[in-house]
Amino acid sequence: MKELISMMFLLSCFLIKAQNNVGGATTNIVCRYQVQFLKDTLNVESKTNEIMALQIGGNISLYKSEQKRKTDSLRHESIKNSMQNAQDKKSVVIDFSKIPKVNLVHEVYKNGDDLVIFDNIIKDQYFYPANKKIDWKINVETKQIAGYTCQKATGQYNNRFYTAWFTKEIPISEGPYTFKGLPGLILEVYDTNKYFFISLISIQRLNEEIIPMNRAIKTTYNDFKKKRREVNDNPIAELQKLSNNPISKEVKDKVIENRKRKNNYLD
Amino acid sequence: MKKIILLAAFGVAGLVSAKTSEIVEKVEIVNTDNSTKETVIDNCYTVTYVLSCGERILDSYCDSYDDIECDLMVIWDAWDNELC
Repeated sequence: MKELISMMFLLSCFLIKAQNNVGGATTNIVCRYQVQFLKDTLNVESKTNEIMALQIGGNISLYKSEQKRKTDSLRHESIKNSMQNAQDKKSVVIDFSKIPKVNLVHEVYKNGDDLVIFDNIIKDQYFYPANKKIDWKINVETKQIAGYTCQKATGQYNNRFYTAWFTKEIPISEGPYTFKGLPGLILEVYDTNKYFFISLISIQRLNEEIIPMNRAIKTTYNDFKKKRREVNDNPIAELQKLSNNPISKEVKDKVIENRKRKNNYLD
Repeated sequence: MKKIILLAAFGVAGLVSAKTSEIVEKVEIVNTDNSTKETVIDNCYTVTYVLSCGERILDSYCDSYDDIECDLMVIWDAWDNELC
């Protein structure tokens, strides 16, 4: 009988796993962070901003661009209208130039101890597990941020050293991007050179659905980095795969020049 | 032990059956209506991507109608990220 129950349990686990659905949870709290970063670490004028939302619902959280959340529906509407107009003429104009641009496309999805990073390379979306946990060193130093007493912590993530300010007054072990694992919410975090500076701008009690990026390809961090390096070395080859027409020399030169200027990655 | 084998056999048969009927359904759709097949699969468009920095990319696109909206959106993003 025990064997039968074990078998049924295993079968139900298999069926649940087969659903492969990472969405479906709802939030209790939504934190918004302002991210200031340099696209090109050699050019201070390349400083850019993005508002990112950290949706938290129990053990699940999702960190993604607020702009992306807002503009996805506008873009769907715009493209739907373009497609309807194109039915007879077979000619379609895709114009999102009036819709604010998303500057950070990466997303971080957390479910318990599992942390997954979603990111794009040209048109392909990938996701990979963030295996490295940050080994935080908690300091006695404190400061006030948005009326909360925050404590300093430092740690290394990949090749950069980060300083985080967290508050025990909000006892949620969460924070922006992969910066988690402290005994309170992280309100501010930045690297030594401040190439990335992330600071909290609001906390709101809100019930909304947590929907991570879809249509993504599973990979590993090393394979993702390898692919990104290949594309950085030869972006034209990858772009040509998108296009049925040959790419002009003028466009090629511009793409290569732009690629060189994008060298600051948070991972 | 017999019960376990029986249960596992039912489980596998159920999964195979579900998958097979899905495949059969797809094949039937393609086989029974050739005109539908043509309109669904061979939607070709001339596409102009107007990017956030004013650049225009002219291209063509042929694919099934179900995917075209998402694909065009992703392609616009790719061009915009690389050129603007």
